[in-house]
Order: sequence, then structure tokens, then C-alpha cells
Amino acid sequence: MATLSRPVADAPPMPSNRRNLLQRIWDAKFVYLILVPTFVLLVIFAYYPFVNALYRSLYDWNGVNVSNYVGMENFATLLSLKFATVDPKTDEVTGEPLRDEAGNLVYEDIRRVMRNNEEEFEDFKAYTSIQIGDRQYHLVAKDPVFIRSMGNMLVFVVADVAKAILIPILLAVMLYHLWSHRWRYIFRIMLILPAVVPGVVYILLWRDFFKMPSGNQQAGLVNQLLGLIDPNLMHTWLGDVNTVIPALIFTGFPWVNGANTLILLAGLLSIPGELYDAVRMDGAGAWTTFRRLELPMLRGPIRLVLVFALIGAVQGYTGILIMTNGGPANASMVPGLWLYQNAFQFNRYGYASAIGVILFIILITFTVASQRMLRSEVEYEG
Amino acid sequence: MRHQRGALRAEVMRYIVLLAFLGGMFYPILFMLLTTGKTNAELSINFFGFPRDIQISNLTRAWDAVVPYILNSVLVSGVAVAGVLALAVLGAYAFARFSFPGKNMLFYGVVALMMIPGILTFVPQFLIARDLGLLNTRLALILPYIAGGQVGAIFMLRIFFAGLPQELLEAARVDGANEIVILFRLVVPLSIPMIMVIAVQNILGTWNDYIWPLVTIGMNESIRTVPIGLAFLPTEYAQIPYGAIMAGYTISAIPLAILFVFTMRYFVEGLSSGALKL
Repeated sequence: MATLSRPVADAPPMPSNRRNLLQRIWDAKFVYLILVPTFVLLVIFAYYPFVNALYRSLYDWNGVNVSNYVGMENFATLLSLKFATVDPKTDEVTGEPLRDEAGNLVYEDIRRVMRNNEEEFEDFKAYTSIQIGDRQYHLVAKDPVFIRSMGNMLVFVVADVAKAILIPILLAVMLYHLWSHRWRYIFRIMLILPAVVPGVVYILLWRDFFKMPSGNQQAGLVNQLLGLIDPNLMHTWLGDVNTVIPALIFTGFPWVNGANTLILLAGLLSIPGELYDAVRMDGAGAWTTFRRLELPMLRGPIRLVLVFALIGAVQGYTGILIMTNGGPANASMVPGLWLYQNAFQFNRYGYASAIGVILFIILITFTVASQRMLRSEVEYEG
Repeated sequence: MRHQRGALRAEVMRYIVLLAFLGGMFYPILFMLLTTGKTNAELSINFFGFPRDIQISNLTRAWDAVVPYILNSVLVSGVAVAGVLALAVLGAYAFARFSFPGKNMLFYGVVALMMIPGILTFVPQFLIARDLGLLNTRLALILPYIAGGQVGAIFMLRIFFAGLPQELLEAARVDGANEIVILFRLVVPLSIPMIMVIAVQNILGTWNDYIWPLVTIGMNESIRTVPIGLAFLPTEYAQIPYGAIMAGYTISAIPLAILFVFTMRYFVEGLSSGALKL
């Protein structure tokens, strides 16, 4: 950061010891005056909210009158996760496993298991379970919705990062190698053109695309197309816990990201021509050129695009809020939306702040790590 | 000769790939435009095709509903971007040109905010807007937009100002020009490309913002901005022709389309050179 400050032309001639600090502050009074509006706004809408979010994450707070200090309890609730195993019920006398009429093993309900063992499982709720052999393994949590939202977030992070990079790289390479620079320019403009339509319109359109026919309402585009193949393929994609996540990932197909394509294209355009000549001299084909030259040279822009996509995927939830509101049955919940619902539907502002703090820690860790990576690479190359 | 034919085939492939993806990208917009011209009855028998009997009434009907939202958005985004540019030009100039006690600390205090994600400050920001009595007024949007937008703008403009040819500014100073004159007659005109990029980025950001307006002004229908206005349009076919909804979406694209025509270069640059903000 030190490189940002530079020698200033009209700096006072040597701040001597005699000119004390107060004098220098007085001399600069107009500069401070200029900065007052900036910092007044920042104090109200940035610094104070930041400190307040950290502080309130330690409270049980309804935003109005109820405000109790609870220490780390919000975090403990959010992050609590336990294993529980349930064995098949056995006959008390013979020790033989019990079976129902269909011959299946009988298990105690996990909720009852937890109720019977209240010391260990107080406030825990069932999250998910798998069966291995005869034994059931349960994952239980105090806030299973948050745990699910974190799992969904991971899925969306991977999907969004892939979408942000793969198709844009393909298109950028195609554009770069176009013979006609005029057409390259036209394509560049066309890639940006969809940005004139408000982003929310695409979300609303895609929500309609997944609709099933009902009453006098038409099936949406996706189901119309599937219906042409086989009416049985039509489905309530956003209303089924098993299809809602794939449907949300599919949204926006074919995932053309104009801005990212142009960022990557700019990276390709900055590759020195001699490098291309050298590769061509070796008789490399398009694929080899891509792997040996273009992909390595695009590392910087790719990382930039990746960081943007990741930040967006960790904290964004506008699309999910509009398309499913986290449903059905919280199947498409993400942490940002869970924060939103805790604050604005349940009035649990302290708890919502704690979710925000967890996301902040994730993002800041990632940002610092990616900058370390960037810096070490620069040193290496220099 | 054979080599050339292979190269030509590759070139044709490139156009096919590009056009296929662009086609997919534009299809939702095309669908929106085509459906704008249809009645519900026509949509049920002609879902994909061109409208046979174009319904102008859908457009006129949507116009009355959507234009107030557009005017609200223009007002909010316009005032916010003007505020961002005013504060950022002055602030960046102060940081770039002058030396004063606490300068570095204050500057880092600004740029450090780029590391703070919006999701963290979202709830306290809402509560402070509530406590200041801003809810359901346009100030609930404009003030936070200026507060947030100026951060990246000060960062980018300070770098840009520092890179301007200092001899030019020095010459003006020798000629007796004061700092205000130098800033507005010399520095700002020289920085127009950067200022335009920042302006376009800020307009796009505030124009598309959904969640903040939803929670702060969603209840006040008369000042709803375009995104929440559109999201709250009734979507029941029984009440309103679907084509009218699509007409509303179409009309909502007009303002940025106009901006795009006049600032194409900055539009492209603004979208493809993001300043990193968490």
C-alpha cells in the first residue's frame, strides 16, 4: 500500500520541530473540511454498522427492547453439530432384533433418542442421516437450517465459480482468434448489451420458465420444451426438494457472462505477440497453444474472476430470495437468506448478526489468502 | 492449401460457437419481447413463435404501471451517483494532492472498508436507517448508496489523480491558479474517462439493487424502484395478461438502453474492470 502515497508537490517545506502538530492541523483545515461529508457518511453507514454487527452478534436482540448479552451462544448454536448412532431395536428378552410386518428392522425415532438423552442433545434437532449396515448414523444440529444453508453455499460456490470461468474462457479464446477485428468488436458490444435489462428481470423470467401449467396459466419455457419431448418430463422443478438446487444452478443457461468474458479477453490481448510466434514455430495446435500459453498467461484474470464469483456466491441471495425464498422446506436455503429471514421475519437481529460475522470471517480469510497467493506469485515472477 | 482450409474451418467453428452462446444468452430477452405482443389466448397456442396479432395494449397498460418506478429509480440513482462523484472527486483530490496530519490513517480508513462485506453490515445499516427515521423515504436509499459508492471511487480516483502529469498542475499553480480552479478546470476534465467508468458502475449497482430497497422502502409503493416494482407486479394470469407483465419488463430496460447508446465505451469498461469490493 505504501506505493500509493507519493511525494506531494506542495508539501510544507520540511516540517520543522518548531511548527508543531496543532499548527499543521490548522493549516490543513480546508482539507479536513472537504473530507467531513465523506467521513460523516462513513461513520453512520459503514464504521458504526461494522462495529455494531460484531457487538450485536454477542446478544439476543430483537432490535427494539429485548437485549441480553449471551456471549458466544449465537455462534455455539449456529455451529453445533453432533453425531448420533441408533441401533435397531432388540427384543428385551431374547436380544433378537425386532422386525415390523414387512420384515424391516425397527429403529427408535431420532427425536425420541435425543429427548431421552437430554443432557447431551438439549435443543438439538435432526438434520440428516444415513444407514450403514444395520446402524443409523444421524447428524443433529441446534440449527439444522443453517448447516443445510452452509452445505448449499458450498455447492453454489463450486457451481458459480465454474460458470464464471469455463464458458467465458471458451468465448474469450474464440473472440481472440477471430480474424475480423470488426466482428470481435461487435461481439464485445453484444456481450455487454444484456446488462441494460434490470438483473431482476432475468430472475423473474427464469422463475416463470420453471413453472408448471396450472389453471389458465401456461407451463414455463423449460417445461414447454420438455413437454415437446414427453409430457411426463414436465416437473415442478423449484417445488421439489430433490430438484430445486439443480434447477437453481441451471438458471441462466448457457451461463454467458459478458463482463467476465471481456476481462479474460483483455488478458489474452495483453499476451505479447512474440510468444504466439514462438509457440507457432514449434508447430503447436490450438489446444496446445491454449494449454501451454493462453491458460498460464490468463492466471491473473482468472483469479480476479474467481474471487468475484466466490464473493458473490458466499454472500449473495437475491436470486434465491425471489425464486424459492429458500424453499421448499428450506431445501434451497443459503446463509445470506437465513440471515435475512432471522432479521426480518423472526426479529432475531443478534442471531442474524452472528451469521453475518461467520460469513465475514469466511470472506476475509479467503481474500487475505488469495492476496498472499497473488503477492508470492508476483515476487516469484519478478 | 490444405492448411488454409483447416484454418477456415476453425474460423467458421468460432462463429458457430459464438453465435450459439449469444443466441442462448439473448433468448430470454427475445422471449420477453415476443410475449409482449401476445394475449394469454395466443400464448397458449403459440408459445414460441412471433405474435400474429401484436397487442399494443399490453405496452400501454404496462407503461402506466412501470413509468413511476423508472422515474423513482432515475431520481435515486441520479442523485446517488452525483453525490458519489462530488464526494469522491473532492476526497480523492485531498488525498492525492495535500499533505496533512493523519492523512494515511484516514485514507486506509476508507480503503479498508473495501474488505468489509455488505452482508455483515446489512442488518445494522437497516436498523440505523430505521432509527434515523429514513425508512420509506428515498434518503434510505440515497445516503447509504453515496456512503458505499464513494469508497471504491475515492480509491480509483486517487490513483488516477496521482498519475496525472504533475508538471501541468505545477504550471497552472505558477500561473496563479488556486486549487479549486486547478481541480475543476484541469484535473476533472483530464479524468473524465475514469469518472465516467465510476459513474456507470455506480448507476448499474444502484439501478439493479434489490434487497436493500426491498427492506427499506418496499412498503411505500409510491417510491418503489424498478427492481422491487417489477417483482411486485401481479403475476396471476387471471388478473393481467402475461404479455403486459413482459411489456413491463421490456419498458424497464429503456433507461439503461439509452445510457448504453451514449456511453457505450464506459459501459463496456465499467463492467469489465471491476474494482474489488467485498
